[in-house]
This record gives sequence, C-alpha cells and structure tokens, in this order.
Amino acid sequence: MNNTRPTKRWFLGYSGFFLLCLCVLGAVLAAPMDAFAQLVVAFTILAVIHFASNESTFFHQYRLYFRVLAVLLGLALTVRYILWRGFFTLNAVEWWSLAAAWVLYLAEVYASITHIISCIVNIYPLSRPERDLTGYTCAELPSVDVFVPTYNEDADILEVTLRAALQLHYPEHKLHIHLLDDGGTRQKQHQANALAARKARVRQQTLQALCRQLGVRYHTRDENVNAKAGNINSALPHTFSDLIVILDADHVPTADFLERTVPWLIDNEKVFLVQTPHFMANPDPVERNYFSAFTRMPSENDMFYGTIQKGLDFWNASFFCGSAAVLRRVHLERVNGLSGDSVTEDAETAYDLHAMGYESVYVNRPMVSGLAPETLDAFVTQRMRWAQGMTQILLLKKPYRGAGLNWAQRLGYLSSILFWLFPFARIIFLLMPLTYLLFDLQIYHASLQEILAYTVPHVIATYQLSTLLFGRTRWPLVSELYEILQCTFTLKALLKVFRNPRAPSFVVTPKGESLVREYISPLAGIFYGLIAVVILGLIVGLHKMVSEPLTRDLTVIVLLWNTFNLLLLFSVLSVLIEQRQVRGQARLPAHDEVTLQDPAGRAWVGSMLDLSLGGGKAKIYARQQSLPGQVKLIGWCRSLGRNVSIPCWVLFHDPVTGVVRFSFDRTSDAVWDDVVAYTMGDSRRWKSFQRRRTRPISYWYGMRHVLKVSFRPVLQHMAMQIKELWQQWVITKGK
Amino acid sequence: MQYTIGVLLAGIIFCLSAHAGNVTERKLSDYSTEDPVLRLEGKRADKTLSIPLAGRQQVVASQITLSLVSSAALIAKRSILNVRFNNATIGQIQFDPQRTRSTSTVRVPAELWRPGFNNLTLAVSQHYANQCVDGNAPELWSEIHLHDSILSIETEPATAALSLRALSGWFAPGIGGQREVNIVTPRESNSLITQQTLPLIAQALALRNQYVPLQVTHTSVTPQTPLPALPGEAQWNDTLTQQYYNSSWYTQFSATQPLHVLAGTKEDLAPYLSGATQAKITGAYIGVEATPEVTVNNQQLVAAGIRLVVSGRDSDEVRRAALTLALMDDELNPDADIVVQRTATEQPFSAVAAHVLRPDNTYSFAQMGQDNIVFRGEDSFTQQIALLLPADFYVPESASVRLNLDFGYGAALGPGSMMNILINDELVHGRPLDNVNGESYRRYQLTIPARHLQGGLNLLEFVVNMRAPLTGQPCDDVGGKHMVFQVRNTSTIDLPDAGNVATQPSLALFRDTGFPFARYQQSHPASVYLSSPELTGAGLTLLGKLAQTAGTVLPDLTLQAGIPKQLTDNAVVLATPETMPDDFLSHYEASLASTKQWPYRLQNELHNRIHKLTDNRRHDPLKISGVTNQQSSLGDMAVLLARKNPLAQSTGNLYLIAAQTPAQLTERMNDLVSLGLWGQLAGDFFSWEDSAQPLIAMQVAPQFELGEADNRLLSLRLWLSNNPWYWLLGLAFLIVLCTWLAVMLLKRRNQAVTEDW
Repeated sequence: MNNTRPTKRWFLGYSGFFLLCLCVLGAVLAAPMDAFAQLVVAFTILAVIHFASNESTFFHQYRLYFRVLAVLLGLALTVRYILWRGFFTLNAVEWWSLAAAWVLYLAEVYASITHIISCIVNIYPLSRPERDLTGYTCAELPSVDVFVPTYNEDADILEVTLRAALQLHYPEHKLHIHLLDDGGTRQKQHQANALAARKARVRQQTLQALCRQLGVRYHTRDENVNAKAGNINSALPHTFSDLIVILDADHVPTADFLERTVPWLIDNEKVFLVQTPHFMANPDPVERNYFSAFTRMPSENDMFYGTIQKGLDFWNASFFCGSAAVLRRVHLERVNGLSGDSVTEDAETAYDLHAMGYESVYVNRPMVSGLAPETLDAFVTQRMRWAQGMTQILLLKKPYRGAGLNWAQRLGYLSSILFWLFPFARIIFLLMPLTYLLFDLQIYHASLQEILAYTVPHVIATYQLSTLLFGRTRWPLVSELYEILQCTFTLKALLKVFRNPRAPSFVVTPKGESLVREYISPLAGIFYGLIAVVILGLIVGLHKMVSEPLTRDLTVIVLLWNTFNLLLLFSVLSVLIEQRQVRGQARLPAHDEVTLQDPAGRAWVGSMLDLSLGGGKAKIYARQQSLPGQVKLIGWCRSLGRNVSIPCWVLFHDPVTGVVRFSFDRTSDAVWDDVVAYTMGDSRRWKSFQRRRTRPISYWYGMRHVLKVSFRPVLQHMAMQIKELWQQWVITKGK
Repeated sequence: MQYTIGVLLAGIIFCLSAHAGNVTERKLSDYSTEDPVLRLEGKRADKTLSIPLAGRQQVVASQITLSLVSSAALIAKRSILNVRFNNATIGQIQFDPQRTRSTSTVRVPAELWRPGFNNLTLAVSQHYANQCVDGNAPELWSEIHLHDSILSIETEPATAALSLRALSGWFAPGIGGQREVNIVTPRESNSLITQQTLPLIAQALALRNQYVPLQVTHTSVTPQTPLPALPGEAQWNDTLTQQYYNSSWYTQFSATQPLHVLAGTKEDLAPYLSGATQAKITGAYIGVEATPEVTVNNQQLVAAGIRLVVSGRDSDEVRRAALTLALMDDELNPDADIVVQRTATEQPFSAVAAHVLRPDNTYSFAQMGQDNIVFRGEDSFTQQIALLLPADFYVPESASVRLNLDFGYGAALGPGSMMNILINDELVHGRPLDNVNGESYRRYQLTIPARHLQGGLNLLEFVVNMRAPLTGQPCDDVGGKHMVFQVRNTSTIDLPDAGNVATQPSLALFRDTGFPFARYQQSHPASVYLSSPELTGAGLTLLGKLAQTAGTVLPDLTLQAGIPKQLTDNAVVLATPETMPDDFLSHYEASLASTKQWPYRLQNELHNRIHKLTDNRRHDPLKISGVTNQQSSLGDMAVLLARKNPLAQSTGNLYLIAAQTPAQLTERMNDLVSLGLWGQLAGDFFSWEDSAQPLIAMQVAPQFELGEADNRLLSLRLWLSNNPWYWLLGLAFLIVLCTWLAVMLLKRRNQAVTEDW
C-alpha cells in the first residue's frame, strides 16, 4: 500500500550521469577539427542516428539502446553546433550586426536548450498498465466528489457533462456530483449592469433546476475571486469525499473514468494526482481550417497527452491540467486548495505538491471528451493564458532552483514552461533573415562549408530526434505552424507578464461558438504584414543574389531560410480562413454494429460510420430498401452493459449505398441518458479514434504536404478580400 | 686623304675601345612578369618596364630593338609609339598602316642610366581617324613582342675606391652584377669553416643578388711551394716574389667574376695574405682589397682581381665575420675593411625576413613598405601588394583577415568606373565608383576569410578601372585627366592568430618560402649533406638560393661532408648514385642508388598525364602499385626527391638531390636555382636536365603535417582533421558507453517505478 521507492537516489544518479555525459561529450565535441573533417563526422553521425531511429521503432530487446543512442548522438550534434556558433561565428564588423548576431544566437541557444531538455524528459515515455477496481471491496474504495466548475457555459453543455458524471461506474453512495457555478454568484447577480445581473439570476435558477432534476448538488459563492481556482476552493469546505475529480463544464467523462484512475490512488498514498488526457471531440481551428485534418492528423493535444505527459510521468513530473483528473483531498488541503498565484492554477498546484514530495500518475487513456476552441480568436486567447500562466510559474516559483524538486522534475517543469517562451525565438527566426536581406546586417559569420558541416547536421538531427520522440503524435512542420500562428499575439501577452508577473488575470476560453459562414479571421492582418515584409525580403534577396556575386553563398542560404518562413506563413493563411461549421456537435468515426428498427418491427442491420450527441450516420447492409421517417437505433452500450434503443428521425437514406443519416429524438430523460451513455460513455471509442490518427509520417511527406497546401490559401484570401471589398463598394454605392 | 684616314682610324680605335667593355643582351620579356606579347589598346596606353643596373657599372652604350606589330587601321603620323627612358623620350616610332610588322632600334643615351632600377616606358597614342576617335574602338591596338625585343648594353666597371659599401655594386640583381663567385679556403682549415662559415658567406652574397641566382664554387687550396716556373729567361726575385704572394695566385677567375672570397682563420690564410692585411685581422674581419696583376715579360702570370677576405683569429671569429657579412648594411661601411667586435642578434634568431607579416598583428601598408597608391587618368590600373606570411601559416576556417582601407576617389568618374579587390586572384570585394561627387573612406572594413591566405607569398591586388564621364554629344570626349583614385598607406591589415603548420613534402612551399629551412618561430638546425667534397659548390649554391627565397640569412644551415646514419630533422642530401649507400632510403618508393627504384605511382601519373595532355578520352587511368628496380644511369638528368625524413629524430623533411656525376650535379644545381626552373618546383618528385623546364614534377609520396611540436591543441586539430575516423571511433565508443550507462539507469528507474504495479 505504502510505496517507499528509492526515487531520490536514482534521480540523483541519472542527473549526475547526465552532467557527466554533457561534460564528456562537450570535451570531445570541442576538439578542434577542420570543417571538412567535421562534415564527414557529422554526416556519419546522421547516418547512425537514422539507422538507430529506425531500429528503435521495432520491438526487440535492444530497442531502448537504439533510442538512447540516437538521442545522445543527436544532442551531441546540437551541443557541437551551439559551441561552434558561440566560439567562432559571432564576429561582426559593426554594432548593429553584432547585436543582431547575438540576438539570433540567443534564440538558437533557447531553442537548443528546450530541445535538449525535451529530449531528456521524453526519452522514456512511461506506459502504465490499465487497472480497474476489480479486487477492491466497496469499503476499500474512497469516496469521490466530482466538481464541475462553470462560469458562462450553456445549461445544455452542462447537462451532458452532469448526466455523464452520474453514469460513472462507482458505488453510488460514494460518488457525489457538484456543479460549481461561478456565473450565478452573488456578485454577478448584483452587478451594476441590470441586464447581466438578470441573466445571472436566470442562469442560477436554470442550473439549480437542472441540478434538482438530475440529483446534483449546486454550489455558488459570494464573489468571483481567483477565478476557477477560487471557485473550486470555495466548494472544498462544503464537501467531504476523499478524492476530488475536476471536470471542466464541457468535459464529458466516460463511465470507466473512476474505475481506471482511482486504483492508482488507493495503492500509493503519496499519489496526489491521477491525470488523464483531454480528448477533444471537435477540431481546433488549425485542425479544422488546415485542410480539414482533424481525423487524419494528430493534434497538438495528442503530442502533449500522448507523448510529453508520458515522458514526464517517468520522472514523476506529470502535472495537473485543470480537468480530467483525480486529486486527493488531503494533499490538496495541505496547499490550501488550488494555487492562485498564476492563471494556470493547475500546473502551479501540481508544482507545489511535487515540491512537497508527493507523486503524480498519468493514465494515458482518453476518458474525458471536451471541446476545443472553435475560433482562432478563442484558440489564441486560450494559448495566451497558458503562456502567461507558465511564465508566471517561471518567474514566481523559479523551478530552476526547484526547492523540493529533484533534478529530473525540475527539467520536466522547465521543459513545459520554457516551451511557452517560443514566441521570442519564433519572431527572431522569422525576422532575422530580413535583417540581412533588407539591411545588410551580417548575422551569420560562417562559410558555406562550415554551414554544411555544423548548421545543416544540427537542423537535420533536430528533426530526426523530433521524429523519433514525437513522430507518432506530431507531423513535421505542424509545430512550426502552431508557433507562427500564436507567436505575435502570445509575445505581447508574455511581455506583460515580464513587466508584472502578477498582472495577468484568468480569461475563460470561449467554447461552443458556432461558425455559420466562412470568413477570414480578424487576426489575419498581422500575417498579411509579415508576408509582405518576407516577400519584400525575397525580392531584395533575389536582386542581391544576382547583383552581388561576392556574397552569393550566404545570400542563397538566407534566401532559402526566408522562403521557408514564407511557406510557413502561407500555410498559416490557410488556418486563418475560418471554415463554416454547421453541426452543433462534432461527429466522430464509429464502427459499432447497429440495428435500425421501424415501428412495424422491420429491422435493418448495419454499422455506424460516425456518431455525435445529436445523431449519426450508419450504413445498412441491405440495399434498395425503403426506410420510414422514424426508426429506433438498437445497439450495444458498453458503458451501460446492455442494448439501448434510441428513437431517431431519418434525415437521409441512400438506397443504393445504404447510407442513413439520422438524428436522435430525445423523448425522455431516460432516452437522453441512453444517448449520452451510448455516444459519450465508452472510452474505447476515443482511444480508437486517437490511435487512428496518431501515425508517423516522413519529413518529406510533411514538407510536400506543406508545399501542397501552401499556395491555395493565398488565392483564397485574395478572392475573399476582393469579394469583401466589392460588397463594401456596392453597399457604399447603394447608399 | 690623310686626314680622312686619320679620322677613320681614330673612329675604329674608339669603337674598339668602346667595345672593350662587357656587352650584355637581354630580352625585354626578362623584365616583365606578364605575357611576353605586350598589347597596348585604346587611344593612349603605356607600359613601364623596370630594368635594373648593378652599381659599380658604367654604361658605355646601349640600345633597344623593338619588335612591333600594329593595327592596319591606325593612321600614320598621329599613331606613335613613344619610347621613354627614365621619363625622357628617347624615341618616337610612327606606326605605318602599310607596314604593320616592323623592327625599330632606339639608342638609349648612356647618361640616362642610373644604378638601381631604370624605367623604360612604352607609350602609344593611337588614332584611326583625325577626329571623333572612339577610345574603346577595337582597332586601336598595337603589340610589342617583348621576347623578340632586345636590350643591348655595354658596360664597364666604374672606377671608384674599394670599400665594403661597393659589395652591393658587385652583387646586385641588375645588369653587370656578378652571377658567380668562387670561395677559396685553405685545405688545412678547420672543418667548422666549411660547415658553418661557407654557408653564411654564400647566403650573404646571394642575398645581395636579391632574386638573381648566384652560382657558388668552392676551391680548396694549399700554399704553393716551390714557385711556378717563369716564362722565358725570367727569374724570381724578392720583389716579384712579394708581388706574386700579394696577388690572387691561388685561384683562377674570369672577367665575369672579378671578385672572389677568401675565407679562413688568420693563421690558415697567412700564406695567401699580405702582411699588412694579416696585421689588420685582430678579430672577426671582413675586408675587400684589390690584388695586383703579376706580369713577367709581358706575359700575365696572375690576373688582377678583387677579393673579399672573411677571417678571424679562430673559427668562431670567422663565423661571426661571415654572419656579419650576411646581416650588415653595405651602405654603412665606407671603409675597405672592418673588424667585428660583437654581434648581438635576437635569441633565438628568427629565420624569417623582417618583411614577413606575423600572425596576430596589425600592419599598415606603410609598414609593409607600400607608398600611397594613386591612380590618375582614364585607364585600368592594377596595384599588387605582397603579403608575405610565414610559410607554415595555418588558420582554422573561422579565422578572418580584416582590411581597414583608407581610400577615396575624386569627382566626375564616368560609368563603368569600379574597384575590385582580389586576394591571390580570388575576388573578395567589388565596389562601383559611381558617386559623381567622389567619396573618401576611412577604415572601410572588409572581413575576409583567412583561408584565402596561404603560407608564403600572397598578393593583395587592387584593380581599378576609371572611365571618363559621358557628355552624350558625339565627338565630345571628356578627357580623363581629372580622375583620381587613392589608397592611402595608412590602410591596415589585421591578421588573425595562426598556428605554424604546413603540409609536407611540398616543393612548391620550398620554392616560395624556403620552408622548412626558413621557419617563423623557432630555430631548427638543418644541414646539407654532401656525399662528395666536389659537391661543396653545389651545396653552397643551393644555400644561397634558400637564403634568397627566405629573404634573410639562415644561420642554422650547415654543410656536412658524408651521409651519416642520423640526419638533422630537415636535411638536404646531395649525392651521386655511386656515392650514395645502396641501402640509403631503399625502403622508399623511389630510390636513386646504383639500383634505381621507381614507384609505379610515378609511372602511373606520368602515363596518365601524357594521356590527359593528348586529350585521350578513351584512356582509362592507370592505377597499379608497386616498384620497378632497374640498373641504369641518370644520364644528364638530375632528380630532386622530397620525403619525410626517416633518419631524423623527430618529424622533418629530407630533400635528396642526385645526378650521375658531381660535375653534372653542380651543373644541374645551377640550372635548378635559375629563375625559370626554380619557379616550376612542385610536388615532391622533380627531375630536370636543363634550366628551361622540368622533365617531371609530381606528387608521389604521402603527405604529412609539419609544425609546432609543442602546440598540443594545434597538433590535435591537425591529427583530428586528418584522421576524423579515429575521432569518430573514439566518439562512438564514448557514445556507446554513455548509451549503455544511460540505458542501465533508465531501466533501473523504470524498475523502481513499476515494481509495485
């Protein structure tokens, strides 16, 4: 029951070993050699990395050896590159160039450090076995409070979450569901804005009625202090269970959520947290807008929950992500509830508890389905909060000092935190070629041979390691796309934090927005500006390449770099076209065997194609059939352990292919419960979906793909902008 | 009639007397480093050749015969070749469109000649019409074939008091300078004289000849007893005997080498010197004196001559005198002899000339001996600045050279005006001169990768093209005289820190810098080993050439008789196949002992090169390895092999020079040091049989690095650079070790995490 593993000793052992490795490799890599010899060595190492990476994808006893070998070799090339850059390439003939060269170098050092830390943290992603409550008596099970904090979400969204929470497989008397309403606080109800105050009162009444109907306890408080953390903390004194589950308003749990998480807390009393992935039922704006990649391309979320949290878990550094987690009350009370110094209260709380020596567990099974922000605006708002919050932790908690944390945990937190400083580096990488092309600043003092010997191997090795470690959960260049999309906005947010680390306030991510028409995001302006400048740099660079033969080598390299930036910016354009989203709920692929039955008792057997809370699409095996307007869907519901029979309206039927579209007819609470259980209650469905889209692709495929989808958005933007201008002109003329 | 005959006789006598001097004929191409066909294009163009004249020479008469070809489009009377000598016009040759090929002779007044360098300017003004001549018209050209144009000059020694100052007059690169010298030593001299002193004397005199080779011969003499028989009835008396012993009776010399050297200790030289001279030798002695002619019954027994005496009371003083001779500035010695009391040189003596630029230093152009560079008028101009770096100059790729230029150009330069900067013929910077108001820059900074520079001679070249502005009106040319471009000699070059390493064996580096015998940082004893005493002259000639190449005396070079088992690290061996031990370097690919051994590689490359020259595309390169052993002679051929020295204690080079006989070797050595052949040294295997061109020059042996033995970092860099695979293996071992340890730790960590699952 009580685990006393010798963690400290091995952490120190690994840290010491890691430092030793760095010293030894640094000394070996600092060995002076001519560029040609370096070139030979570097490309030999790249070949070995390639071989070792390939080998490490096969299951055999030496798999880990190959993986570690590839990582060490790749990092060796990175360290070598940074040493070389620092020692030999920072010369400049004038101050502006020197400043620009140093700025670029610092950005590269930042990128390298985050890369190195990330590789160390993710070198051994921990795969935990799936556990359940079999073997535990009811008395042994701890009581559980499920908190659903809400601020401004619709009752419809909350109803689904609460119904799903009520269906959790757990002894009824030990499971307590709580709705924590921050939108109906006394402060909200008595605010100066009468309309808003009335809305708050109506909201409270609505939610209270919903809670009464479902048998859920409703909580609210006097003032909206400390946002979500304050909301949860205010409910803690009024609840008494041993464990606390926190679910965001839109986070619908599957029935097995507690079955698979609680055992980890029973077995080890030092565990304060069991975190599970956030499975997003709808695409984020990038996934939706970027060639509709939701069902094919792993999301940013998949990379974090599918790889990084597993890597952190190995070092006992996986942290709380605000929802879809189980926390132990006694530990939470030791830190006076959720921390509120930063706007990312979740990570901060985990940090505090890790620093006290408690442990965390990450269960990599998607058991909570949530909603991603629909619009770019909402997406950027969410990311700005995360960036600000993590930077606040960096500035306020100083994890590099890491009082109470072991070295591996420090690296884990630094990895997660430093990542969010990417806007500085990304902006520098975007603009730095222009300082050379437009202003002739000498930012990179190296010959072509040296670039081939040092820079190119470093870049290739970085991509090789990224593919090795994150290849299944991230496509090449997609991270760059995400970063470019966010960098300009997040940079401003970060600067605010650096000016005053306590300034940022919690901003709720808008969710559940609908997109009734296709339009260009209002955020596009700054990217137009960037594209214009980069194209100007390209034109000037081409002229420079032709007219200045003496610097042609360097110009060609910078031009390639600038062109790469331009392609990424073009790709961002595709994300900036907000695609229309008609359905209220996103449909996800499903493969269940189902039977459609009409009131007369005729039945059609088929299989589901997709499914959502609102309805679904199935394919019946029989052809040339005539279906009535109303049928019943009969299918096995794993979470309920029985067949469900859900009334449906047939919206479309193709007798030739057998495809049937239908919507659920919520005729009663029982039917509604069945719909929730059938569509949202089975975690296997999420797992299958996630597995389907997490697949590795080659770098060249990714590059080709980016090239393929880069140019069309340019024309689309032009057409849409011209159309917009034309419409404005027509309206003006009409007036 | 009698008067006429008298005048004719006087004329003949005058002519005969005039031709009693030394007549020299030289091709003008000898004074040009460029193409022997000098093409002058445009409305006006000129070319100046520098013709050196040795001091102590008086020109009696001289003329220049020019071989010309001119464009048929040039109009007569207005198209003229002006011949100027030291800026005085000495001839005007009209181009004749009816006679495009011509030969013209121009007399050069003797009074225009001056010691040192004389400027011969060939300037043309060319027109194809009487007005509206386009200066860029392609028909405006003329050629002077320098290799067919001859300078004839008759000189005679100038009469002046003998002094050491005059040494630079005898030994000088100009016309009339002495090209051969005989060094005489008493046979019974201490061997140190031959080993240490003669090399210094040979170098001292060769250095005065600057770039012109000096052939050195060596004569070992014994006191003559009894006196030679006199012609006819004549008998020796005291006066005649005294006169005889005061003369240079011990040696033969010709008119081409009026000065010889007598070297040895005072005691050894006593039989050959007058009492007065002996009395002056009270220390390290250098003296120059005339020796009288000895004539008996109108028959010359001993010719008059001049001798340079290098002596001292012991061999150390003789060596010190020779070293002083090599270091001293002749102009500061108006006396005929000096006694050197003390010589203080820096320790250790740096065997690199003062004009060699040292790494990690900044030099202004003025410090490099460069005046302000000024170009005026409309033309293309080129100015080269020699950057002489240590032969073993070695920098990593990241090192940079910084040029801080102070330059400017005047107003109203026309389109097409530009400046290009080249280093070793590689363009490193270009700039249009396109500001109509002119521009002036101070510290115009150029950062150039130091890898553009190499050990030895490097050329920084300013190529400036100035074009007059256009008026846009036909026939309204703007004269370009107002145009000016300047590079001030306050401009600087900032050299990076560098290691001292060179890839060896390399006869090209040997040719350009004298490396490894001339080294930048440390003193490195080296010797020339002679398999036979008859090769002493050849050895001294080579040592003189090495000093000329290095630009300074190389005091650590010695001459050794015989070939011992242990050689100095860097060594030259002069030998004939018969005198070379059979087992000497027999394990080498090429051996020149009685049984010749030629590597296949040498034969392969020769074979392949011939096919390449003949453009035989169907030829498959020959690649076989092995050696051929054969019994044969070298014939007239001499061979120079450069190899890693197997008989050295540490790393060094061995240069083996061999010919069939000592006489042939001496002759071939004289060929080798000639300007033409020395400049063609390359690879590590070089053979020749005349001074015109080599028979073979190619790289045969594997190369290695020679550098600072005590610079561990540099040694490591080179070793790693040459052996990246070893480094890679070492790295691989480390990585595998780290990987294994990391995996062990990760597994233990994993075990700790999962033990309670």
